[in-house]
Amino acid sequence: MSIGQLDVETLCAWVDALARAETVYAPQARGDRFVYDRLRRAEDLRLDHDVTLLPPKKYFLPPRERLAQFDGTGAARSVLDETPFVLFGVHPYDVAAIAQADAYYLKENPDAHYAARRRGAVIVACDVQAASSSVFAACMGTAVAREGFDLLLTRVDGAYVADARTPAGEALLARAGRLSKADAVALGRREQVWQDALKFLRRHELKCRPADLPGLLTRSYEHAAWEKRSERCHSCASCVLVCPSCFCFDVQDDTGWDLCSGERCRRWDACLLRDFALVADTTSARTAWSAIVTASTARASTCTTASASWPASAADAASPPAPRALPIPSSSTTPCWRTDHAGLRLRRGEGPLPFAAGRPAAQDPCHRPRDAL
Amino acid sequence: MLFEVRPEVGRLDYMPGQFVEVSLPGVGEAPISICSAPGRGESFQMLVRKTGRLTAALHALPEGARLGVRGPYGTRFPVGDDMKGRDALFVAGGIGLAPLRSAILYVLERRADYGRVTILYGTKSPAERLFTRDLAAWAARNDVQFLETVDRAEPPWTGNVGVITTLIPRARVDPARVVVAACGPPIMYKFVLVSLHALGVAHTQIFVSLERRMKCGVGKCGHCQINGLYACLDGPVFRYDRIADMQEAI
Repeated sequence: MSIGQLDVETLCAWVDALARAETVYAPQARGDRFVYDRLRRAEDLRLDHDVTLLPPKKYFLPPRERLAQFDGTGAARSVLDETPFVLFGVHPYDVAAIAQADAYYLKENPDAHYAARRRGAVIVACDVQAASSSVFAACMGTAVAREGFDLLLTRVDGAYVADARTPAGEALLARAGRLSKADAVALGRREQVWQDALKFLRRHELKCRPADLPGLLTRSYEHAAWEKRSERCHSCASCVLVCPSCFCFDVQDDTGWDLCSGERCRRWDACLLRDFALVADTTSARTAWSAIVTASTARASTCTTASASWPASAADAASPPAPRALPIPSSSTTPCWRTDHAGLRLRRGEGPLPFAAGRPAAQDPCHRPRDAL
Repeated sequence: MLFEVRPEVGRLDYMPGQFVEVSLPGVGEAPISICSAPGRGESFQMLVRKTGRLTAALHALPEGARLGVRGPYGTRFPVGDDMKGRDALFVAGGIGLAPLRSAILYVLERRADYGRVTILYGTKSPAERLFTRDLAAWAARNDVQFLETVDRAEPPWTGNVGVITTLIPRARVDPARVVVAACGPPIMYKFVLVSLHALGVAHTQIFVSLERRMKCGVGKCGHCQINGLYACLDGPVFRYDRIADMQEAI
């Protein structure tokens, strides 16, 4: 498969052409956060995003998805959405989450609805340019993506190395026109970006190996930490909404105005909600756990600042703490984005900081969207 | 209410312990266990208690109405393998008799293939006894030991009174070669397992059917997850040693 180099102008022209011809979803600024949304023009693309409010799983497992339609006669037919789309600018840890969902939904008893969406998707990954203040990907081994995407973009020296790994990625890249060759210097720079990612995408340290986590969690079932966490839990399930790898769903029938026709839909569900494991005789397998949640819910109801609506509470849960400076390696001279003191405006520059804490700057009159590429 | 379901095309190829997802468009879908023995013609039976939206709608259906059925799903009682040639002990509590009835009928149709057969059945009150014709038939058989009890007696009940564990020491089975199939509420399992342990029955000889919210039936929705297991794929019938140390299983 081919590796080439794109300057920012070529990238913009290519993305503009893709956005016109295809359904492209990509990270964009919304207020002071980033979201994945339908991309209409290149200048809205923010490859310098730190983290998005909702992960890209929403394109493979939509929050509400129609599974079947039925009419008044009782006849039903399955509905598959096979619309092809391009998912652009996916960070390596989100690539890992998609691979995890693939393993879950496609290996044993493949899910036809997920498979249809997945078949039509081309994933363009992008190495992290701006680190979230709460990132811990390097501890989990997901700071750099080695597979699970069709095309990988890495920003080096004001341009992008584009690495096509599948025929679909190759075909997409071919639409960028003639690529300049990614020389040994550019590839060396890219290697440095990966090394930096492994070093710095760890604002939180894991005190064990990722492989030890399942065993550790199994042995910590009754650990006091859970009860302590539950004291702050409002049972809103926002943590599940923003989780890139949570996959549980509920299935419900929505009836039309005629009370006969309608559709069967699945919606995101959360194993942390009290009724999740409820069975017909109104007992739950999680009685002990429910008791804790009931107690914390009672506490939460007295809190006047608790968010009432789902989207708002999802946003609250996703809000990272105020950006702080990342560790600065003294020897590195990798080109990067720097934040000013307010932490809001991004500037291009040569500097020792490999990852800036990126935040949208849409409200900033000085902001030039193309600079975000 | 007992439902006799006849597929419009073909027949349902199932084994005792398995369940189907029953659906009514516009109302929803729910897992229901099969209570008839396999191989009894084109239809199968389900016993449905009215406890929620879908089951209430099922109860309101006229005879001959159409339903949506997916399945069969899940694991089976070991009537076709582990239990063969050995003593069989069935322990049913309340509506737990429904899936066990499928296994009991299967065994009784092939009675010569098994050792001693004992059926224990417990309900809260005499009015809650299910499949009373079957119960009478089992009680009348010479090649089956059938014992039942109620938690609270009401006239004209003259039988045993007490929880189901009081019947276990009376089961005429060889603890070393018995295979137990049990289905009932979680509280029943807690005490039945202690009694079986006291009898000397190993965990590997006990099979329990667990009730969980098996929403999709194919191990995707997460509702019936018990740690790393899915009740819809790895269950609902579990060999007890596989879940004995698992939190939230029983």
